Amino acid sequence: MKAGAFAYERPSDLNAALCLMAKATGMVKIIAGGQSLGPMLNLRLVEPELIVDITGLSELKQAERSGDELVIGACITHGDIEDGRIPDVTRGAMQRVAGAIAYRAVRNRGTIGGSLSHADPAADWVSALSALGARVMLRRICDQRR
Amino acid sequence: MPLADSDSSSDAKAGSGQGVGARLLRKEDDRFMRGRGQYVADIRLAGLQDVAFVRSPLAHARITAIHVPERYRDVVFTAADLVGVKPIRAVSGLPGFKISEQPVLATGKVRHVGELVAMCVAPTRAEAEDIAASVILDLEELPAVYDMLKAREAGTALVHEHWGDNIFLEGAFEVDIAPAFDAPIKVTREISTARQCMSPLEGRGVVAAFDHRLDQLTLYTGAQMPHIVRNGLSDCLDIEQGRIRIVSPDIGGGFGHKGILLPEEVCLAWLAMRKGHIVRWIEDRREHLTASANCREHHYDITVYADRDGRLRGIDCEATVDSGAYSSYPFSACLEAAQVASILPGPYRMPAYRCKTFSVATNKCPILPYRGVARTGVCFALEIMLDAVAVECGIEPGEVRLRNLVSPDEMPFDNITKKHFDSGDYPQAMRRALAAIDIAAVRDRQRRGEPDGRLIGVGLSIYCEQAAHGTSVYAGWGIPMVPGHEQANARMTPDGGLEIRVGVHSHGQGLETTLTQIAYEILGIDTAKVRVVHGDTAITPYSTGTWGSRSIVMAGGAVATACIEIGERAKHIGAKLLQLDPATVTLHGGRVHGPNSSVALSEIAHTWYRRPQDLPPDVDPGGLESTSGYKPQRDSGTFSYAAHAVTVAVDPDLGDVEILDYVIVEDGGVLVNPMIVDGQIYGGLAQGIGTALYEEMPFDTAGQPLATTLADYLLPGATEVPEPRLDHMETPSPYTMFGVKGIGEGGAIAPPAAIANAVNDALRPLGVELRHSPISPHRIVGAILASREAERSTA
Repeated sequence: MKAGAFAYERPSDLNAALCLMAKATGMVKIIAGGQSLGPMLNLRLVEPELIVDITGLSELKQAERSGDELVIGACITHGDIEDGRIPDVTRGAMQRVAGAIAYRAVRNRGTIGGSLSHADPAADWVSALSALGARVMLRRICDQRR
Repeated sequence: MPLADSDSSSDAKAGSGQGVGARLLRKEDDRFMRGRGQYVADIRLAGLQDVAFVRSPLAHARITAIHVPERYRDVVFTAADLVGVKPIRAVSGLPGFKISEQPVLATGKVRHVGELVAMCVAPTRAEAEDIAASVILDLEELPAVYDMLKAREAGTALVHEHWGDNIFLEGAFEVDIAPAFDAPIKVTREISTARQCMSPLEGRGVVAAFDHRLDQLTLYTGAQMPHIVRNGLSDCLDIEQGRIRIVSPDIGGGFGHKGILLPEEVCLAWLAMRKGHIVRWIEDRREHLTASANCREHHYDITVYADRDGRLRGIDCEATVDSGAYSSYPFSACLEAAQVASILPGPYRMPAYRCKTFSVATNKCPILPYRGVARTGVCFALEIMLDAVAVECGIEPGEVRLRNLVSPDEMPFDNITKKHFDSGDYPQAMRRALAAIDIAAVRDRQRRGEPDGRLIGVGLSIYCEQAAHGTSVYAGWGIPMVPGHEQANARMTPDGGLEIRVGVHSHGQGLETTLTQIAYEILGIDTAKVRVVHGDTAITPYSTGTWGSRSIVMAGGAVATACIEIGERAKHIGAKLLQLDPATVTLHGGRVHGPNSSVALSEIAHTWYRRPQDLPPDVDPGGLESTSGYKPQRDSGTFSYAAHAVTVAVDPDLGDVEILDYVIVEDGGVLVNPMIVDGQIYGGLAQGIGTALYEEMPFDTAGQPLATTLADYLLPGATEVPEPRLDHMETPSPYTMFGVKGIGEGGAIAPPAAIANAVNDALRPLGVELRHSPISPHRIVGAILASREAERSTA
């Protein structure tokens, strides 16, 4: 149960990360908390050529409230939400969901963005955020969409 | 949490504070609690390289080719390279036993998923796995034998073609069954237990090194029975035993999983000698779940005959055990099923009995005896049947048991299969359990109903645990390992300390503490100054090792015997120092006493080692060191036992089971350290709850194991294991030193039966009876839905 060989990059801004992904020719995987990807790598269920670690992207670690809308960065952890370290517009609903995800060690590292992009049907955020009417903002090298 | 007034007798014995009966804190816990235990994976030796195995992805297939990339030719090894290495053979002497040969690397065919095909060696495990991934196997898939009952049918695929069928061994035992047939009560059921993986915290691991100075292979391996591993390794590699040293360091859980000779051990030993450098393999969790030994898969077709008052008239049973593809060394493929026939009647009286058993080969990993061995399945089957009899007779389940249990005035008691019960009061244990769980209160609560709609049930089970059974019993099984006299070496050090060397291994049993308590009991040397050395064939006496709840009886008896011998010699020297007649001195409190004077053992040790000029001329030249052997007066085993009682709440919509109360009344004879016994019962209970409610290794029809991670193979966690209420009885064994009995496995035997009976008691109003472990939400809801469906179709 050891991952196969892969290249590893930890860019420091979002554009650099997007460029790395655009340039890559083989399979690329993004890692943040690694709570799903880690075991998948070790079981060799995925064998990417490049892993882009996005935990150095400060843009993705922010959460901002504007009016009734809350924008949460992909690298915000379940623990950040559980502990109330980011603003809330759901009257505690997200806090309660976050606090029930796996166990604390997973919540310390696992991120909301990772949970949504991995989209395991058993994951909490996929259904909880749908129920809350959340939208996802996607970025690529020179484009973004909702 | 002990029930009040349960251990007054052990408190009395604990007067000395350190001897037999004392609740002494465990000496080994200092290193464990500080994270300083040393396990195989902690061993770091210079030049070590890692091994990864290429394992079979198929359950049953012919190997047509193994393609090794040219660049890895020197670091990948297959069966073709292992010239002269013999397969693992665990033969039973029972008539009709069919022999399987387990190649250490597959030859010709693969017979289970995960079977070793090639080994790859590299500086790191990750690189070794890369190499393993580059090896291509050409396999011609064969139909898999995945179901032990279908495997018994004619015309099915064969695991070992030359056998002509898939039966390792068929057995039969009968005592006059015919008179039971006209009994007024006849209850017939099909009962089964799931296949399990033992799942100790630490998996298997091997480090192998060859020492050219000593011309000796050292194999570090987490082994419950290091001397037996040496026997097996010597056989497979055809090298002298003196050239092999087995070191078994700290072990993170044995439970039987580390009581086997692994093909990986043989492979690594061969590789270390071939390559001349140190090699290591550490089992990962996926290997453990999919490719390591399994346990527990039993099936029973059973009929119980009784009178209307619940008295047993006889049992008629056909039991099948799925032994997997190979007979594992040393316990063999048939020990489990053959035991079923002899232990099924347990502590109950009955005039008639018949049991047929089948040990069946399938395309699954071999089975190993897991804590409780066959007893967990047997107890599950029989105790579910007793509840069914109780329902049929309209009698409380507790009462049915009390009417059939052997009574204390019949002790010692030979049951219908001639198992010799040394001592005990089984009805008292059951009565105490019934009182503690408060059956009447539970029945009241059931009548009132629960506000949340859950159903309450109470369940019982009782069993006996034969332990430390020796030569006569194992000679009968005829397996590669028959225990004889157990030996211990005791040696005083020049400063008055004591070293004890034993061939058994301690891995959770607390022997590093309890054996010092026994030494203290004899010699009075402070337990802090007594060291127990184990886990190394180079420096310990031969032993079959730690299994069968035998160590405290056997190694404890041996330590006592060796200490008595040293004590006698010390008295002789002490008398000289006191200028007294040796006949007038006594030994207690660590000193040799005369009428008016005394001398410390440390002074005597100093004299023997460092001032021999002061010794009496007729001193025993053996000095203050003795290797002594021990066997109980009878070697048919000690019988400890326990009554378990549990109250559960079952959610009929979700199938969720909550344990509300759990009572255990156990009798393990005289307890050397009741605190350690409590711990063993807690641990056993946790595993029993796993068997009852969670653990299952399912296979598909291609023989693929389906629970490949711990997300699929469910183990009970802290929130699933309640704190039981414990009550101790202490009926000494008449045959052993101090009256001790083996107790290590018992906690894991009774819970599946008690919990199943409790769930069935809860669900009886719904017409549901669960008879297959684990009693998962899926099975509970499925049974309730099936019962409703049946009701609708009859209405």
